[in-house]
Amino acid sequence: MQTAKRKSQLIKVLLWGLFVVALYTGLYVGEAQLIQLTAQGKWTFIVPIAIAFLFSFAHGNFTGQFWNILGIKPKLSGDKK
Amino acid sequence: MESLPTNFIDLQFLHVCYLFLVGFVGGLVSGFIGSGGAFVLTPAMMSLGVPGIVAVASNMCHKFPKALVGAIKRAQFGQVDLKLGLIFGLFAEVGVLVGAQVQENIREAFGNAGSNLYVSLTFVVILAVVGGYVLYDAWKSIRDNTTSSDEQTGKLALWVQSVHIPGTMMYFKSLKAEVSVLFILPLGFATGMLAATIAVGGFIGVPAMMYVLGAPSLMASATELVVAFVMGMGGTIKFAWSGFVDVRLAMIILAGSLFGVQLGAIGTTYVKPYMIKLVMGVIMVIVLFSRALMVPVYLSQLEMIATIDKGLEQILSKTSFAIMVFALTLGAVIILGAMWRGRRAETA
Repeated sequence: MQTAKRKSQLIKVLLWGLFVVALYTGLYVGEAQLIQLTAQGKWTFIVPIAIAFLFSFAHGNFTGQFWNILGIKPKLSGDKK
Repeated sequence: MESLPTNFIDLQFLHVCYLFLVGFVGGLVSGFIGSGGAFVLTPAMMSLGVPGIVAVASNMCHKFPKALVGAIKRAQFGQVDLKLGLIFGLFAEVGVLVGAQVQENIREAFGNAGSNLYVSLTFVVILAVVGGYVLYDAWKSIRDNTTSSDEQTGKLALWVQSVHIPGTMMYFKSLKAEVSVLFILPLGFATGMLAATIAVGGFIGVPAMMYVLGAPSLMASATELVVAFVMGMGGTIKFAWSGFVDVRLAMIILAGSLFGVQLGAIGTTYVKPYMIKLVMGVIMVIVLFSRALMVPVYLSQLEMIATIDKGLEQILSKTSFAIMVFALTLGAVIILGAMWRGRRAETA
């Protein structure tokens, strides 16, 4: 039971990790075009904002799962409010 | 590869590793005390040749998603007061706009050295007064009662909570009391002003929530992440509108800082509340010395004192940066140490 749970956690963290790698690869490949676009300013401000939200969503989930799988979990005893 | 716009540097592999690492340590501290990782990132980027304004803009663009992830994590632990964070953040946003304008006016009137002097003096005065008090309070908590996790509401906060101004009162769960929005306005504004000046509004925001409004330190530091999100997002829009955000730099720092912010947030569940004050106070007081070292340099550039030799100027500047890195690293070591002890006590 415990092993099955751990296996599913591991799959989850790997999938999030792959997604993050794909995002950063995209950033690397499209680097020049991306900064040519954002350097224009004005309404292109949406691009860095959208990228920031997308990366924080994917990488936030990955890093959360990453510490979890390493056994670094919060102590939730309810007395820390 | 196409040539990059002049504001943007060509990134090397070592630059990426360096920014990732600084991002991680900055994120760890931010996740723990709600703020405080940002001040080292702007000079770190500038040391790679990034122009000042692009460094500030890219720092902002990494700050708001980091604060968002940190706030969500700490909200899961019941530490975030969203209502207080949003209202505080709104007033802080006004402070950021005014603070940026003040900076601009000072730069026009006195040039870059004048602006740097203003930033350094603000660092020294605010960090000496607030940082000194936070550290004193942490020491008092350690001395008086090391085992209790309860925090007493201070006299000032009790008075603030007792003032009733009709039509402006609001209940906040972190305070377990009603407070007039008119008290939050100047505190948020000052936080924003500081953020626009030294990049870390939390050095006013967190102590203000703790000592003036009466929020427990864990909730104040967690709620500051909401404030940082609001300020960071507003700041990013402003800078990106002018085309100054280098999204590559921001995302590389974010890659490291999200590992840190998650770990810092988890760390808060293992430590006694005074640890937040201790880490914050220690960082503030050390950074104060870092900035104080630079004051004579700027005074000399403004010809207000005898000219300082270029070699000495370089030494002071490098020592100042090294002290700043040391402050952040020491903060990270205290956090990891406290977490380690907390975990060991848990499993013992």
